[in-house]
Amino acid sequence: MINGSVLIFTPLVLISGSALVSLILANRARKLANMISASTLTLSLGLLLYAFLKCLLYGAHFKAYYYVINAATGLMSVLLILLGLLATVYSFGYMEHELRYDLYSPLLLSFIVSMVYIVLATDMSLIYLTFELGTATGGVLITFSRRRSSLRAATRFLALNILAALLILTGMIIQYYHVRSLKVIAINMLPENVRLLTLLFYTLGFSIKAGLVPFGLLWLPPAHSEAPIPIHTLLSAALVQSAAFVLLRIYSTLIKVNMLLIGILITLGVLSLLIGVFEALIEAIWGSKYSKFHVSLVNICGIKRVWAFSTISEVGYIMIFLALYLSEPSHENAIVFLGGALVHMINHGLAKAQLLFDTGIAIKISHAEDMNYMGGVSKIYPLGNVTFLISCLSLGLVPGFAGYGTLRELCLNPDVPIYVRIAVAITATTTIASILISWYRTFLTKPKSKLADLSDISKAMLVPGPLLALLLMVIGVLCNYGLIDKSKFLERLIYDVTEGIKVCK
Amino acid sequence: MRGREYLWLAIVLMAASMLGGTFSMVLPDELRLPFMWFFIEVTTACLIFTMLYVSLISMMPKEVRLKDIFIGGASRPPYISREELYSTKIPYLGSFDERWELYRDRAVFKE
Repeated sequence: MINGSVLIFTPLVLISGSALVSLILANRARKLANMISASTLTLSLGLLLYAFLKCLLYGAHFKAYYYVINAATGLMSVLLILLGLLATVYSFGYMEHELRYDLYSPLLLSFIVSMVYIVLATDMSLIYLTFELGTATGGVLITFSRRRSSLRAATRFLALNILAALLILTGMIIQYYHVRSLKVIAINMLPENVRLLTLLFYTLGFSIKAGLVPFGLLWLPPAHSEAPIPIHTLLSAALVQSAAFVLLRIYSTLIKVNMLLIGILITLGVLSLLIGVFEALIEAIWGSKYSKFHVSLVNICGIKRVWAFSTISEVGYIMIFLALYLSEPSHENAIVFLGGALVHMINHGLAKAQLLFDTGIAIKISHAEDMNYMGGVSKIYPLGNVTFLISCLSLGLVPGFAGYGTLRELCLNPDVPIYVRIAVAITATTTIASILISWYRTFLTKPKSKLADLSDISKAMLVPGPLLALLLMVIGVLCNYGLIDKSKFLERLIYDVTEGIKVCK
Repeated sequence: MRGREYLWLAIVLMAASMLGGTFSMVLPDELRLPFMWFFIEVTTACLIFTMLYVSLISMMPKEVRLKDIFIGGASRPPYISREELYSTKIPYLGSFDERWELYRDRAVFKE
């Protein structure tokens, strides 16, 4: 039996150590540095997976200081470190010509560490610190596209995230002033009015970090789309989700929630769903001239911007799940809505990362990020058609795929308010439309330049996309089979995971 | 870079939070300290931002070729344009990648 401290802190020590090694070796012996980063991340993934399975199968949980691994935090940390590992492997190829790889690699590893430890922390001060580490490293990593616009996007990312940090810090000060504790669970001990004020600060702060409308529109599309593909993947599929997960945990530990807060959450959720997805569609058809929120002086039809807008709408789903649970926090609702939110996070994390990995290959093949100059990728990379379609259907909540659970609980569930059901149906349809249009413009239209050959693309870039598509298929089959068959195992899994979100003492 | 708006935003925010901090003195005891802390944080962040904004530009000005100045501006503009004044090179990365400035590889897409 491995000790809790060992399980929790070994990944931190391993990845931090490999970040130091990369700083020294990355430019001198890049292959060796890459090998060390990949192996430490794989080892950390193995350890966290072991801890997660122990929690799931034997009901164990591991504690060390203010960190906890249980079914919920274990699942999230496994997802985040898996995405981190794949993004790192992808970077070996995507960033192979980067001159400051000695800076890029340690920053990337620190960014991954920050996200994993956000979800494991049960104390607001640790959550705050790890978020700040994520903001600082993420801000620098965005500029690695080396465009003027990427510098502007990084400035905007830092400005908005510092504002979010200030709001969270204010909430922490109020909480500590009243209860002398910064534990997430201690929010319950606050007097009624002060609790409302504290939660308002936390909600606003984490909504900015999670990219919800209206704040998300200001920083998320520029920052995500200007970053190099591996960083965009981590920002979209991991950082935004970890912010949403923290909100989920703060609220699910509460005994009583004010109706005003539930109203704010559901409004933010529905607005994010609709605005995000329509902006994605506008970007896919007409480009940044009409979708706005672009930092460059040149108008483009950016494929990465489509995914960035789509991320805003996907976070909306999570907020709606949370608000619906809070409106009647019964045991059944916890399983349906909190479990649904976590399944949606996994679906979105994997599908968005998959789309982005394929997009990176398409960019390298067609020598452009602007869809007006892309095309013909299908001839060079035909496998991309299949993997793109799998992610499209998963994000579009189509039955048979990993996203079906979200459709079932939010759209086909008669207990959900009708306006939410309509918004979800519109969002799912529009998501499919925007992805298919982007796919058509990138893969099927005539090439606008001499395309690069697949042999020019690094092998490290060709592995993560198909691997994630395969994983999505497996999860889709398992979820759909479990939902139809009312599998006891799936029910227990979701029950353990939802209990894990709530128990953070 | 159109960065001047950030500077103005920081200055306005700093003034507003100083004003807010002053008025928070009249709040009841249990709210006074948290609000004052908040305004102190905002003011400090704005101050640091403003200082960095000014110091970065003064430490890393855009290099101007002397030859251009002697021609008296007849060739290329020797002065630092508004865009250049409010932007710096990426200090830790060096130069921008001009090839991808238009979101496509200029070496492949010749205008």
